[in-house]
Amino acid sequence: MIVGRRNNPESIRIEGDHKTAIETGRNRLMVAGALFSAAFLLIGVRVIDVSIFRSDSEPRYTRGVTKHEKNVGRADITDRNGVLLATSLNTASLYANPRLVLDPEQAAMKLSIVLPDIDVKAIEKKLRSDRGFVWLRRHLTPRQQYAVNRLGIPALNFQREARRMYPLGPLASHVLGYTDIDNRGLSGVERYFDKELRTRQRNLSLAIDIRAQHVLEQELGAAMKKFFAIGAAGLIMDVNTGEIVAMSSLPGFDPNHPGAIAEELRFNRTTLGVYEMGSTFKIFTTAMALDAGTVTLGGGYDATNPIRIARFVIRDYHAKKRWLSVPEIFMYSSNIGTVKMALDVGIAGHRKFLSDLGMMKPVLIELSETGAPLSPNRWREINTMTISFGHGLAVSPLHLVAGVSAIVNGGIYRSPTLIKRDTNTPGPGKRIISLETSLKMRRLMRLVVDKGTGQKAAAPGFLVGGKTGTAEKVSGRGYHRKALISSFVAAFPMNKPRYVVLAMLDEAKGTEETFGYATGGWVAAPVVGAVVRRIAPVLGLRPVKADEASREILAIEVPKKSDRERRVAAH
Amino acid sequence: MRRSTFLWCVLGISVVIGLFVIKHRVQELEDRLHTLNAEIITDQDATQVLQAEWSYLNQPTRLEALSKRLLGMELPDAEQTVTMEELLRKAEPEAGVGTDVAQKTAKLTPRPSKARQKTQEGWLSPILTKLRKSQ
Repeated sequence: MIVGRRNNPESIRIEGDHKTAIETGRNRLMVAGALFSAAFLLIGVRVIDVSIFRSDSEPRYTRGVTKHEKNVGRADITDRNGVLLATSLNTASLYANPRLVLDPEQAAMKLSIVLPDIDVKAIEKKLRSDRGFVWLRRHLTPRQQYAVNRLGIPALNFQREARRMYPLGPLASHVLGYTDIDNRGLSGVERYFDKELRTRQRNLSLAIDIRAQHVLEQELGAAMKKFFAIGAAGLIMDVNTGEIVAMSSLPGFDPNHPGAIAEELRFNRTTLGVYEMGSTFKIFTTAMALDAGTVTLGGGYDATNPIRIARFVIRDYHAKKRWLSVPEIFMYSSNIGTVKMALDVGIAGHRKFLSDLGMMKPVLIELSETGAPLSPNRWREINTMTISFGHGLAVSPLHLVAGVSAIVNGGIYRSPTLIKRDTNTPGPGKRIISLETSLKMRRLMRLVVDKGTGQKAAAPGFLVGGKTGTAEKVSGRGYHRKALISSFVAAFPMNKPRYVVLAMLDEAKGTEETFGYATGGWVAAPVVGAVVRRIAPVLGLRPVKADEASREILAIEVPKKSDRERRVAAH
Repeated sequence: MRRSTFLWCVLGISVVIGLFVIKHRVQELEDRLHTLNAEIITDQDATQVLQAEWSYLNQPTRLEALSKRLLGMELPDAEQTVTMEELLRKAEPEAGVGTDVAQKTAKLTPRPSKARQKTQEGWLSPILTKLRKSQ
């Protein structure tokens, strides 16, 4: 053995029992090794499988947060100065998957403890239904959400939802409109710009100035209360850009509670309501006659006798029973004189003029609630006669304001808009009357406030000029003597008009203070005066100090008596 | 050969460790991203609520009532609106009493700083006197 080992160490031979024992050991080792390596291989494969191929199967977070989730809800609406008018706040809404509810009765009971105002029976019924999704309660407060969470009912879950909020409450409610619980715009700009707001392209900047809006609503509301009116409407429009700075229809509503809004409160009197406006239409008739050249400021008409046509009698409210010059006709609001003025221009001319001013079709504005004017089907002489002083053609207050803006701004009609203009340059417009006629009309309107029917609209330093209007409401086939639409439309400052203001009261009643009168000059003119006094400084207008000088610029020569006699003699 | 085996081993181990460390860091960053995203949303909600509240508190009706009650404010009338030029014109006679010589010398020797000071005092004085009177 020793010899063999020395000669050839490799060829050791073990014989007998020893050999079998070692062979067995080796075989066992081999088997064990193979088993172990197979196990390791298996684990290795599984590790690769889990770490590389199945990385998505198990989320690392119970609830992922992505960037998209940040943008839920509608875009904000602001006024022209960036004051927030409508915004979306994120709240949690509770829903359930009824298929996962173990015990509907118990779940409903538990929920009614933390949300006391829910209907237990209805909730239980919802939880028993065979659907995969039911809303249980929308827009929970954080405290309620926490309480529901603590109940630990497995089938309940929360959905982040946006809720529309109007921080200023009922202010400018008819402009903004409101949305339903699923954030769909149902009226106002919310409806008109529904798609844009929902896709959140950018925030919407309105032309409204909330300060002016507040003053207008407050003053109108006060007048409404004082004269027991059933409603009121008011507008302030920038005559150069066509922007609507304030628009108010009273009574208003709170858009935060869309469910509680009564049907009649949703009615927008400024755009949807059409009314026969009365004497404010004399602005258009006079401007038309002056522009057509059928009469001059020095001319006039005989207003001694009422006009009889068919079964109608047209008479003057403030009858003077004599020859009246054009400024006097305007100042005393003479129906007779105005009718004669319109007839001189002619039926076709009258119709075309009003149609150019947009009085025949709905105003183009960013609201769905626009009313179509009620105009006569066949325009005859009698129509021209009545429409010349504002009867027989019903238009919305917005029509009137847009028309008056065109008359005072130099003669160019611009479509009113609720959206803030980015630039100060006025958009393209349509020329209606010449600049000279516009200047004359400014003087005439100033005269009404200075000496005529609209003296209560005066605002010291701001040179208000305007025209009163009183119309009886149509009831059935005739007119209602006691139901009046009293309005006053004004522009200021009259030397260089910037804004047109309208105040209109629906069925105002006279009080002791107004000696029983409920006409535009008594009930609506003071509103305009108060509004101008309050908003003019806010809108950046300086009062004119030297009242004498300014009065002279706008002064108008009312033709003298001798003049009149000569005229009458000539006729 | 032994050396190269050793090198490979070291390399393999360091790659494994490196991978492990990087994976951990990625996870940490992911966690951070998620918390930040969640925080952004919470903050956005909060600013939205604050903005709404700010607008709510700034309701014109409320501001008007508060300024009337607490500050004693009233509506201004036309007389109370004055331009800077009118203010300067009014200020001149008051400031001009005894400062004639000073003004002349100021004109002769143009010292802008002092001249500006004078005019400043000029338009400030009526306000100051009014303040003193009211006190």
